[in-house]
Amino acid sequence: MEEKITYQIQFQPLGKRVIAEEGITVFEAARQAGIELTSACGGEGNCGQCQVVLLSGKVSPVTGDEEFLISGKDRQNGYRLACCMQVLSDLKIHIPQDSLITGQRLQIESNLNMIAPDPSILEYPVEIPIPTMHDVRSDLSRLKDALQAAHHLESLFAGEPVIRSLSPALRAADWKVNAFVRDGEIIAVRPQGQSPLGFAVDLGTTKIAASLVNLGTGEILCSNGAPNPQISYGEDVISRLNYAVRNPDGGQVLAEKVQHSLNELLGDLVNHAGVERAQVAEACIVGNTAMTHLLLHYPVLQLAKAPYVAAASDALDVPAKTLGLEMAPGAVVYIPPTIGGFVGPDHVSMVLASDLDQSNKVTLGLDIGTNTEISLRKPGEEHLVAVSCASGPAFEGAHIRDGMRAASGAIEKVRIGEQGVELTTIGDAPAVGLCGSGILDTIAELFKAGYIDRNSRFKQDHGKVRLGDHGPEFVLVPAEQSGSGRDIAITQKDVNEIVLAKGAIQAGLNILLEATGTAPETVEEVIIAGAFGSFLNIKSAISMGLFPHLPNAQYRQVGNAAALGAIWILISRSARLRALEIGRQTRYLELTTYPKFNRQFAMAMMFP
Amino acid sequence: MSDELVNAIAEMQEDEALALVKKMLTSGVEPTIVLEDCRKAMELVGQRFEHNEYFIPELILAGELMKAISDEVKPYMNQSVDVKKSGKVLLGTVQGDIHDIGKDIVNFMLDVNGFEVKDLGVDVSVQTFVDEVKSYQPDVLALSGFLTLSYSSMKETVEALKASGLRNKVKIMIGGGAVDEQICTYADADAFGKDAMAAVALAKGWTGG
Repeated sequence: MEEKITYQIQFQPLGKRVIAEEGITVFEAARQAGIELTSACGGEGNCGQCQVVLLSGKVSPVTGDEEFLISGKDRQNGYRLACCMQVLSDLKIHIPQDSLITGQRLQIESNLNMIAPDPSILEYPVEIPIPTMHDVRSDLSRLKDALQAAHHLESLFAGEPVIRSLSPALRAADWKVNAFVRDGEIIAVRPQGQSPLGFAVDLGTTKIAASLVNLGTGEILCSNGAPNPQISYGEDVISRLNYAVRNPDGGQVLAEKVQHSLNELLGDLVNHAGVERAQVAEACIVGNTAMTHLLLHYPVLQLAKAPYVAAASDALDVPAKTLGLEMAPGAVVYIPPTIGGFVGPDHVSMVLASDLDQSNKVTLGLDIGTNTEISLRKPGEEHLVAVSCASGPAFEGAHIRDGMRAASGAIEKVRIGEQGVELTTIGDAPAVGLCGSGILDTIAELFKAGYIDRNSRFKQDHGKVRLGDHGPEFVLVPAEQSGSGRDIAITQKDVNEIVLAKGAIQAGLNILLEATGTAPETVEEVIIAGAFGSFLNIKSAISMGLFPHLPNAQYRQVGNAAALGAIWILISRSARLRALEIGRQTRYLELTTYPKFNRQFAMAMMFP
Repeated sequence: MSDELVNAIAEMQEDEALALVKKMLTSGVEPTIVLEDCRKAMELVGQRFEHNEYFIPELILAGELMKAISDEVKPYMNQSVDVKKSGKVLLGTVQGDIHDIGKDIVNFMLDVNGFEVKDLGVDVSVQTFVDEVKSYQPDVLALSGFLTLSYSSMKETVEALKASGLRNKVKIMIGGGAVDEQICTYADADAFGKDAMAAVALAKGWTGG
């Protein structure tokens, strides 16, 4: 029998990898990987829907169908039809959000409370006298005078972009307008009935979660998520910073990519809510230090290398326009302060929304992601102490052979008992891979059932452990039952990746406790935030030692607290002040220089 | 007795290993014999790592154990006749990188294989390397780095040595992380090693030790 040549195809930003035979189409390879691309013609090259971008590798040349179906500009930007390109080497393929049938599950909700609105941007309805030959005051003077007369607003001013938009806006609204004012500055003039809105963004290393909120009422109009488009340029913060440093236009490219995505997300939200971009008066964007630097196109060389120094750690107001965000003419983007190292505004925001800074219990707050931040609050002590752990993207399904993000067909829960494997998939679809919570469950269960030992090695003499191409592995779903037509297995290498992530987080927790003189039994509460954190099974996490033994702690999974904090900061001045205070009062503890860090890390990789 | 130490180290039995070392030294066993056992044990650890029987934690713990054993052995080394060292190696993790697990193991393995090693630690500046090459006059310079960013620091270090006219006075090897032939060419080092044993082989080859 002739040996077939196969290649590895990597689909970004899903992080899904698949082995495909030479000559099949990328459309077919995606299908085998369990990724459903939009298509009306079923992959016949007739509908033009399954557009993807070839990032690297060799495929068959552009066909006539593609020339007909894809615009010249898109073709120049590398767009191809997945059904028209044949696999001729290892490939890296980017799938735009529009080409995906099933959206990824991006956690944007949180089960925390909302804060009472007390916004810094207020709306003032006002009717302005129409200019006549006897009253030739300028449009701006006319507006200011009317606002002073009606609302006693003194010394108002407006920036150049607002002035530029003013004359047509006043006339279009027939001189009856809502003026949006922030600290004496007129930000926008809208027809009456349009209230100022805010755009809250949690800019994660892997995912972006955004919401549109009414600044006056605090009502969340709608929320949406998207993968961080920078992911094709490096999965973790260090490799992404490296890209910016090592390529001449790297920083520019990364900034533009994410700015473009944010502007598109805002467009989706605005359309969905049936409002206008010009109503969006302010944005609050939170992310780790690397993400905010890359968004702002700040220098990052000093952040990419030890001792990892930020360009600036103060809170920032940036005109929305400079970040490519089409919002109200005078709109700004607010970025809360940075704590230190990679512990950035997102952690400030998470601490805020989970009330960690005001807790009257000894509390640990974890935001688990590609980079994991942890803070310790001890009541009565002035400072919170924060650490940052390089946990990597393994919990998000990357670097795991059959790993995938939390999308349809991802195994999310696993039990391994006497009867064998029981599992649950997202959307109850046929299993195509494992998402973070499923991977964690599997490894915890394999350890509990005795398939792997304390040193995280598969017991090779165990009957159900088989020898795969790259060492021992355990099959969860055999090919004939899976949605991908392939075995879904956990390999020794997968276990290694998870063990490294778990080691990083547990070592961070242990050192944080040790350095602050906190006995594990005094910890009363553990707050777990982040998308992976809200789905993970706490029992699995404890039994595999992701968390150290904290005998008296209550665990609370709060969802995306960082995203909620960004909303709080938009709608409440007191929340914003608290965020500044959190930035000031939180001390950053560098883990890697802590004595015996290596040893702590080694011990934390062992199973309990 | 000897196999006992090799096994204790290779099996990560830290307390037993240290106790054995103390017992051997106080009962008059030559320090070189203790170190030879360590060398054998570390080779076993390396093999097990390669066969996926060991993972990063064991490498870290073995490295730590080697440090602890070194500390025990050193006082005895001074008393014994000056052992003729087979060459001098200057070692450090390059600027911008603070990873030291691999570097420490390389340090130990070179040491027990008869090299005089000066370890400059982590995040070592280009200038420090140049100054030390000038004053310490090593036969071999070993640059370690784990981050991809460290490759440019390696290159800068080699370039600075060229600029100071020292490049030809020393053999340069690099290692750590994903260092390979390509990085070696990029940094213009003389060779790269994929593990501590490779570092020893390279150093021996260059010094005839």
